[in-house]
Amino acid sequence: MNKTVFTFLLMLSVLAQAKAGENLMQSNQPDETGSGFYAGALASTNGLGLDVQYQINKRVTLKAGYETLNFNYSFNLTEDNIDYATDLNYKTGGISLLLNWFYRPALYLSGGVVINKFQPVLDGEAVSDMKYGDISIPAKDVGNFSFQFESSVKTSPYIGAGFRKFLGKKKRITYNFETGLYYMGPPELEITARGLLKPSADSAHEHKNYLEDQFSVYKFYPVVKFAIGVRLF
Amino acid sequence: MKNTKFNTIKITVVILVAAFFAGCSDYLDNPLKDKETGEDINLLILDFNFFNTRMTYKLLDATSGELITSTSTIRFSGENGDDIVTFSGEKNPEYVSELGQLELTVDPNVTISESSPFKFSVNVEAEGYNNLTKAFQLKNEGKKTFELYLSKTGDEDESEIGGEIDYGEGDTTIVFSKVVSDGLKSAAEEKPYKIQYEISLNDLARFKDTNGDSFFLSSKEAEEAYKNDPKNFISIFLKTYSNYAPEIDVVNIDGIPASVLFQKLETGRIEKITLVGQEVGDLNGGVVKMNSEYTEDPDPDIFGFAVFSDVWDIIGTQSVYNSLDINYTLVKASAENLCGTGSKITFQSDVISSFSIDADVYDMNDNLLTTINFKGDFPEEFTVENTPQKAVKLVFRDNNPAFKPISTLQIDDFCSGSYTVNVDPQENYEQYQIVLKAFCPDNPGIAVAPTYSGEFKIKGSDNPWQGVDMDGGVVDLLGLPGQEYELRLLWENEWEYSTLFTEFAEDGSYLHESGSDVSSELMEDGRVRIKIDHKFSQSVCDDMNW
Repeated sequence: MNKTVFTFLLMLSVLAQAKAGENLMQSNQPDETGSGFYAGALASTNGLGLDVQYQINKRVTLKAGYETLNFNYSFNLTEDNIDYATDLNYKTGGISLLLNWFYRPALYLSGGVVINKFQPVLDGEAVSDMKYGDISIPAKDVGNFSFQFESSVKTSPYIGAGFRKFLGKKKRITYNFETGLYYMGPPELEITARGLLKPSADSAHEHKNYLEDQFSVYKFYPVVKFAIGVRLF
Repeated sequence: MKNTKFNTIKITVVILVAAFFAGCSDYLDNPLKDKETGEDINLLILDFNFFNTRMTYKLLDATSGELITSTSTIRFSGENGDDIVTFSGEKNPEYVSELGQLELTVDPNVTISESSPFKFSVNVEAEGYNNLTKAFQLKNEGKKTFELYLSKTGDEDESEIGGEIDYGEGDTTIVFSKVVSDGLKSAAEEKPYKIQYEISLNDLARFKDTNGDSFFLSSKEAEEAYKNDPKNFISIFLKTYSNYAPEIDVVNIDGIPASVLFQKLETGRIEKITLVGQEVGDLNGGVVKMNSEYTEDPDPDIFGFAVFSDVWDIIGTQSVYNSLDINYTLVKASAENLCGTGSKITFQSDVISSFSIDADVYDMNDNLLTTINFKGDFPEEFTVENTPQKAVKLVFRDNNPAFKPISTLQIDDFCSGSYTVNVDPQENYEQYQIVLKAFCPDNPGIAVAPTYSGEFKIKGSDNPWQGVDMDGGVVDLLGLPGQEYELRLLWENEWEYSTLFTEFAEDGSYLHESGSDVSSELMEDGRVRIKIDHKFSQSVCDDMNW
């Protein structure tokens, strides 16, 4: 059921995007007479960054960009009566080299590669003694853990679709909205742990492989991107 | 025409992109549910590695050396007696076992060192055995095995001794030294000590029979009765046991508890006293005196009757009883202080294996001093504790089928020095690694991979159980190929068994996988790793609130 709803919403989203592009086509015919070089900023689910675009002709635009995202979220995690001070360090981003093919003046398909830096880390350290039967285990003996995910494919193929719009009389300003995915492969997991959770990190138990398999469906990184640029020449 | 082309492209793009996104719809599946079964996945594997000191208590029959199987109750007391807990962290006033073995641990908030020893005493009551009390002073943390030898009441010597009148300078007394009927078991054995019972005629005249009637009106009347029939006048019926091995125990010396070399020479009790053919029911203010004497050279530093109150108090060579509840412990001990920590001994081998090796420690005159268990993984260094400052020999017991007999280790000074013991595997034994993960039936999200002591042997064989030291659920050990083995862990009063075969395909895969929770694989170093998913019984899980 979830899958059906998800697919339906996505189709709706793409249709809406296509419709928007159609409207754009009618209302905002761009400067598609020749080439141009644009530089600008972007914001996406893969981070904030900069990109440059070189419009070779009305059909093809080359893009190179750099984006990065690094935020920390601290929270308290209680697991089996143990309080952990937990930090989620969500780190991603990458360097992209993409080609946009405009099948209509404002609508394009995008493809290329992203050298991705996907590497979120979840760290936790016991902050309070653990009640265990009639005794309490000192927090230092309860220990800590670190789960670090990494993409198994560092140079990831990317595919997306979007629309582009020009602003101003001379159409020197452009912005585009794009959705896409890059393939990062089944995520790789590194576990380090001390104390109570130490066996979770022990290669003999192959727990890393077990969890990697469980998370292996997460092969694609979804991208929703908004970029704005200025024509330099 | 233009619109038709555009619509075709649009629809194609929509379908392609939608199909592409649809591939991600698995993202909405809960990754914490098993992909195939939908059950909670095993997210975490936990260990008990926060315990720094693990204690194995073995209750052994003093005569046969076998684990006793009758119901036993073990209590701990002393300064740190309350710091001994189960592996589920529970402090129990007493521990009951029918298996003759207990696995306990120490509250990790209590540190143990030479300057802060862990002091406790143990009291064991077991059906069919005499009570046992013993004190300990641990000087370091680690894996400890305590062998507690209990004397079976059925193994006691029974004897009946008669008394003769002694007209000494003071009070006229009956002195008991004439054996009327010897114990059937060790009566002829020469002992290095002598115990003599003594009752004065004045005290004797106070005794009453089991009906509460006095035997005599006066000491004169008692003396007359003796003269009339000295042979049948009085008898003491005794039960004694004297087959105790030397050990290390804690004795109050000048008011300070100290670990010393110690040996119980005899424990005993008076079963009954008969007077003129009738059983004495009440001493009625009279007393029975016991005198002891060490009869061999050299005299021990400390000798006499001992009473236990968390540590041993040696009360002297005479003990006086004013009731019929007469039992005694005669001991000898050395006054020499033991070193808190002594020699360092490293066990090494060419194989990757866990080990549990027992060593009997003798002095150079072949007197047994104590027994030590070494449990760990090769190579591992141990610092022995409570050691006498003298030359000793460590004679390793040949009770581990996987190892060849180990040569005796001579140590010049048991209080210092570093020594290495090389251990060789028996022929045909292979190296394996067992990886154990134990689950609770009601909580598959958490598994336990314990740091714990276990035992291993060929199923159904007469071999002794081979002790193993499991670290985070992983234990390296030696086994014979093509056998069915049992691995067992003791949780409170219940053995948790896992069965496995040492039969594998060339690629290391397990040949008996069907219907089993065991699998295997070849490791990079060529050994076979045997993985066991064990389901704890619910009682274990209840203990841990899982």
